[in-house]
Amino acid sequence: MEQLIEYSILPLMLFGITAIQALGLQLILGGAGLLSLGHAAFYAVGGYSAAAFSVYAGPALGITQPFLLMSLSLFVGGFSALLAGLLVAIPCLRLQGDYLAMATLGFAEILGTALKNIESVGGTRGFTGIPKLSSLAWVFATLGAVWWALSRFRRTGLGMAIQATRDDEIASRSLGINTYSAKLSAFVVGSAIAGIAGALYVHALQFISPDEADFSRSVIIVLAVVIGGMTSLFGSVLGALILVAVPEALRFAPDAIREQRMIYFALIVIFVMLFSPKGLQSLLERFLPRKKSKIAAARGGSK
Amino acid sequence: MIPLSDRKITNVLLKAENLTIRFGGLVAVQNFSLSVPAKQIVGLIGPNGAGKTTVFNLMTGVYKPNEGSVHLEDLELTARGAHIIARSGVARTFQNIRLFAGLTVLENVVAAQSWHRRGKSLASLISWPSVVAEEKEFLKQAKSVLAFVGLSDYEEWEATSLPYGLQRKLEIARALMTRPRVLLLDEPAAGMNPTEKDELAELVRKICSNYGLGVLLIEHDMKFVMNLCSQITVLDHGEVIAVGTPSEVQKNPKVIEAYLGADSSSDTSSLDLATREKLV
Repeated sequence: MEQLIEYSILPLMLFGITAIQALGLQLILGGAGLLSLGHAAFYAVGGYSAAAFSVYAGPALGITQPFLLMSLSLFVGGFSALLAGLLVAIPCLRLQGDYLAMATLGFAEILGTALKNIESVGGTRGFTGIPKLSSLAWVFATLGAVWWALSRFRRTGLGMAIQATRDDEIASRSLGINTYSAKLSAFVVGSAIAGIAGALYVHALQFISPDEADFSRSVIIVLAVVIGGMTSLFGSVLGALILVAVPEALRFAPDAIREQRMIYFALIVIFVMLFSPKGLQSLLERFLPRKKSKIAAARGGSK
Repeated sequence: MIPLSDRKITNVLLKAENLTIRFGGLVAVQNFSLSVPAKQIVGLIGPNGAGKTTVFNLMTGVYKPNEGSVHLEDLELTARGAHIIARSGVARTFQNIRLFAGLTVLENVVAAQSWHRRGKSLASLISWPSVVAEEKEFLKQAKSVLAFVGLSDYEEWEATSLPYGLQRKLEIARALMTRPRVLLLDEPAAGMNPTEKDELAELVRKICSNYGLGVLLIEHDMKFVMNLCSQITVLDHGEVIAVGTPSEVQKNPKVIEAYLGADSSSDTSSLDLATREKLV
């Protein structure tokens, strides 16, 4: 029993971290309707920066208290990913069309190559010797905080502007919404959340390699959001659960089956698109009682 | 419908002067001028493809004019960004309805004042009391605007699941939420039955008198336009062919020709018409 609990801690943490990443991408993909194919790269930016902070900068500044060091590295991870997001999005979002998808893809490639060549963060071997500051409690407290903040964010002025921009850019502009800054905000906030997830990851596994910025990792997060349901936060967390649970369950399956997990994901995506295009979350919703007025509930207003 | 005393005070709000736009070699709108006074309803009519919607797009910043200017009172709006023009007080609706499909009826209206609250997102995230109070105030306003256009019973509906006529009203409510001084309506009565049209006419009059707005509307239903508007501008092939009161415009031979079709001596080739229609 004890062994089982011990064994399940790591997959649970990975689920929590993937769920945070998926929530960040949900804001970009479902909230603003922008396609980011480099979400894992922002995750890696956050992870590497947070690790560099707690390995080099933190001790140099005399910060050793674990709680403080972890809190600060979450901030560093989020903030560095936010800056990276700005760098990528500012030129692309001024253009019409899907340049952002291409640019994020390119950014991930460049970042992966760059990280492999920086020896102070481990180069191709990966960054090791990171203190273990993160825990299951940290991961789930952060997941809860991010989820809560995003559910509130949707109701703020900026949150509404982002959703309006996604639905109709011309109409949004005609109503005074600056669609460029709405899209930019969604993208950088989503990227910052990925960076926070990266900070949690490096302090849980005490290791990060340039592979974390890889395109295939970004695809996994896109899959989580699409499978779970792009329009809801719950859907993204559900998608993350599936994307972590399926490979974990396949661990006990024969090698031949296990190695083809991407095929199963592809089958799941096809299944979801065919039977429930709004994601698995909408499939669940059909069996649950309908929620009351969303806006009124969120704002404490009444008719 | 509009008191005579008010008509004398022609306090012009929106003013377009000599607007011209070319798409490649084609002149879509040429030398277009028009003014919209406060508390008055001005009509813009013309055959299909005359350039009416292009004029709206020029005035609201969707297109940048090659020549000419747009002013809201003393404020220059020419070639400004669409969202800046909207914030200055010019709101519009669209010929092909453009609602936010992913939002409810109430959210559609709330989104229209989201920029009033921008920059306060962090404060509203942590439910800062003054921001919560402001949010409640905006919600109250949104509900009262919905009540004003008669959509109170549909607040929680998905916007695009509303019947067509109500979608048009929702677009008007959304535009009103930006607290405009001038409202541009692009074929507001299209697709409505006679009863709905009468209701809409009443609503537009109310908007004009209650909110003190200037209204500029494009409409094909002549009865609707003639009953509602105090001034009408007629556009054909991108050029103004007549300006005047409904009765003056109705008698104008150029207008009759434009609507009933030019005779064979006209220099308008069918090819020209076809390309124009594609553009507008």
